[in-house]
Amino acid sequence: MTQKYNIPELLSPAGNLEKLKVAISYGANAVYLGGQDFGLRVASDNFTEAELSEGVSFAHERGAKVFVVLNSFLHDEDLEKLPKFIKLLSELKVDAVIVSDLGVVKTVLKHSKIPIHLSTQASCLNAFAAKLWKKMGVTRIVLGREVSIAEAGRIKKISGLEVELFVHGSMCMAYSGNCTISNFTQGRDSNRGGCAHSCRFEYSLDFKDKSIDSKSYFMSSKDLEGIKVLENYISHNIDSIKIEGRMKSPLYAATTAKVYSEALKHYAKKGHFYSTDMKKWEEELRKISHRDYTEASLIKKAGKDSIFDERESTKEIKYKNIGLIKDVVDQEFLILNVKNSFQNDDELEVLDFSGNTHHIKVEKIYSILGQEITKTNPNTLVKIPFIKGASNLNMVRMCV
Amino acid sequence: MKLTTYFDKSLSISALNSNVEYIFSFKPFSRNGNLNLEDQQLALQTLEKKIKVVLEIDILVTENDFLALIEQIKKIDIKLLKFVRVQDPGVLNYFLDFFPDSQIQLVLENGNHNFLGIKAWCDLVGKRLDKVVLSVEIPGAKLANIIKNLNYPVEFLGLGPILVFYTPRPLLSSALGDESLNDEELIALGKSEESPHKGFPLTQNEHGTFMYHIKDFCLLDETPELNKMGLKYFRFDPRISNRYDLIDNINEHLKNHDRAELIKKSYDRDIMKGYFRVNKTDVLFPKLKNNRIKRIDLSFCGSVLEVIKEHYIALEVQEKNIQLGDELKLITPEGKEVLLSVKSLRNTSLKDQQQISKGEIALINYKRGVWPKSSVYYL
Repeated sequence: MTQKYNIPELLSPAGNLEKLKVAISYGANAVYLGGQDFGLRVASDNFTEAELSEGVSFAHERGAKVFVVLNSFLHDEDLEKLPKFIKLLSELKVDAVIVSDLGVVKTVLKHSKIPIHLSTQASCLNAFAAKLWKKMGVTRIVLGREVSIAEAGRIKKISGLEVELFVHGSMCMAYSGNCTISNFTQGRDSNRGGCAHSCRFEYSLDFKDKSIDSKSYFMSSKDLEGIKVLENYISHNIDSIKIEGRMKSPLYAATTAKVYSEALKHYAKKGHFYSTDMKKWEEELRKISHRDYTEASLIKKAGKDSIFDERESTKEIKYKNIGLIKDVVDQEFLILNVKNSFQNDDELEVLDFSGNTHHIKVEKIYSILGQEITKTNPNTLVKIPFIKGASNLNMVRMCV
Repeated sequence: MKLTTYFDKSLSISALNSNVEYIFSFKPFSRNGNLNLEDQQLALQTLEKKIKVVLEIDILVTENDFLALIEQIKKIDIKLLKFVRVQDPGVLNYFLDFFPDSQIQLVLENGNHNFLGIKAWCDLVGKRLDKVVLSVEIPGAKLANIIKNLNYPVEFLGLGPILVFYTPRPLLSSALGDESLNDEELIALGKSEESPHKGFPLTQNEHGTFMYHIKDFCLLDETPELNKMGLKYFRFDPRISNRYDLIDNINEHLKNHDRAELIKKSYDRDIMKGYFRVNKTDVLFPKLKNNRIKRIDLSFCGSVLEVIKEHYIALEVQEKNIQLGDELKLITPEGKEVLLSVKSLRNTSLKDQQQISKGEIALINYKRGVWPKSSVYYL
C-alpha cells in the first residue's frame, strides 16, 4: 500500500541542550525550546546563547528544525528586551518563533523575517480566529487543546495556514492562557512562566444546594495520548504533531520521540497503522512517567473520563531512568552517566536509535578507574560492557 | 467616567438609568449568562428608552461550536447587535466581516499587558471599536499611561469578581459523578488545603466550568484617580454577588466619589485591589530554579559528572578544549566557588592527555569541595 497523505512533522520538547540532542537523535523532525526569558517554563534549564547556537547547528546538520518559544504574555518592561533576542535568533537562523501576544508578533515582524507560529497559549480555536491571526502575520497556528483533529483539519483548509496540534503530554485543564489562579493565589504569573499547578491540588467542593460535600482533584487533567488516533492526524492533513514536556526527563524526550517517529515511519512505509507494533508503542508510552492517559478532545469533547482524580505522586512508574550513554570506549565499554542506581543482576534496557531495545543482564560494572563494583550510585560514571548497536546519547532504563 | 454594568431581570426597565451602559448576557453567548434568549424583549425595551444596550459574546468557541453559535446569533434581533462585546478573536473577525454596522467592545482581559499589543488590537478594529476592556493585572500607573497614549476608550473592572479559571470541561457534574448534569447550571465553593485561600466560587453551565477569586476586585476608593487618568468606563459586575441594587449608588459615586465607604460596607463579598498598585508576579521566578548552576556562556568549560574523592573530577567538556595547565573555577550547586589548576588530565581510558576536546569526558585532578553538577569555567 502506498502513502496516501503527507506525514506530519514530529515536534518534540527540548528543555535543554541534552534533551534537544536526545529528541532529534530518536527521530524528532523539529524541537521547540526556550531562551532564558520570554517563555513559559522559567523553572526549566532553557538555553543560553551558546547553547542555542549549538542546538541549532546540531538540529540543522540532521535536517531538523528549531522553534523558539516567546509565548509569555509580556508586560511593557519585558518587551523592551525582546528586539535584541530576536536579532540573535535571526542570526542563528532559527526556523520559527512561537508567540501568543500580539505585541510580540509586532516586535518579531519589525525586527526579523522569522516565521511566526501562534502559541496554543493564545487559544486559537476556530477558522475565523485563524484567519485573523493570518492577517496579522502568523504562518502557523498551534491550536488549542480543545480543538478536535477533524476541526483542526477544517481550520487548516479554511485558513490556508499550517496547523499544529498536540499529540502527547500534560494538559492544562483551562483554556490555555485563561488561567490566573497562580497569579492571584501564589503571586506567580502563570502566563509568564510561573504556573504553580494549582489545578493539580485536591479541593473540597461544597455544593450548598445539593447537600453534598465532595473532595477531589476535580481540576486535574489526565495526560494526552494520541498514538491510537495518529491516522486521524494524517487524514486531516495536520502539519505538525506536538509533544508536550520541556520540564520532563531525557528518557521522556527519548521515548516519546522514538515511539511517535517509529509510528509515523511505519505509516510512511505501509500507509496504515494496522500493526502489532501499535501495542508495543502503547506499552512504551506507559514506561515513562505519566498520569493516566486520555484522548481528551481529539475525537470528541473531553468529559468526565479526562479528569485525573488522583494525587500526583501516587502513580506507580514501572520503569526508571538509569541514565544516558556518554561515551563508547574502543568498542569495549559503554560509559554511562548514572541518574538512578542499579546493580549486578539487574536487567537494563538500552534504547538505540534504530528502534531496537537491547535487554542486558548486568554482570559486570566497573568504575572509571577500572575497579569492579557491584552497585552504582546516582551522579556517577560507570563502565558496562559494550553492546553492539549502542551509541552515545542512547537512553538506558530499567523495569522495577 | 460612565458606569458599565449587567442587566438582570430583577431590574425594572422603567427604573434603568440612561447614563449607565447595560450589558445583556444571554446564556448561549456568555460565560456567566443570566438571561435566556426569550428575554430579548427586555433588551429591546431598554433600547427604546434610549439606553445603551450591549450584547455580550464572551465565550471561547471551537470550530464546530462556531456553526451553532452563528445559528444562535441569527435569533437575535439585529437592533441588539449595535454594540457587541467579544473576546474570542474568531467572534471578533466574524462580526468585522458580517456585521458592518456593529460597534465592537473588545475584551482583552486575558493577557494583553503591553501597550504595543493593545494598540495593535485596537487599530485592527479601528473606527468600529467602541472601547477596549483591559486586564485587572495591569497596575494603575501603567493603565494611566496606556489610556493617555491609546486614543481609544478604555473600560476597567471597578467592582466585581475576578475570573481565574475557564475550562470547557464540565468539572462540577463530573465531581458529582453525574454526567447527566453536564449542561446544568451548578454552583459550588471550592477550597484546598494546599492553598491558603478558601471559598473560591465555582460555576458550571453549558459553556464549561469557571472559578473566581475568593475576593472581588474593588476600585471604589480609586475613582478620582481613574477619572483623572481618563478612564471612560468603570464596570460593576453584580452577577456573582447578586447586588444589582447597588447600581444606582455606584453610578452616583462615579459622579461625586463620595460613596465608596457606604457601598463597601454593604457589600457582602470580601474585596481587594489586586495588582492595581503594583504587579510583581515575576519576582519569585529567579527562585524557581537553582541559578548557581545556570550556565554563563562567557568562559564556560563544562559541567561535572562525577567526583571520586582523592582520585579525579570527571567533567563533560562542553565548550572549547581543556588543556593541561588550564586554570579553572568550579561553582558548586550550593554556590561555592573552587579554584583549580589542571595538573592531571586523562580520558576515560585513563590515558594521560595534553588536551581533551569539546564533547568528550575529561578526568582532572581531584579537589575537595566539588560536587556533581558543578559548573566549570576557564579563569
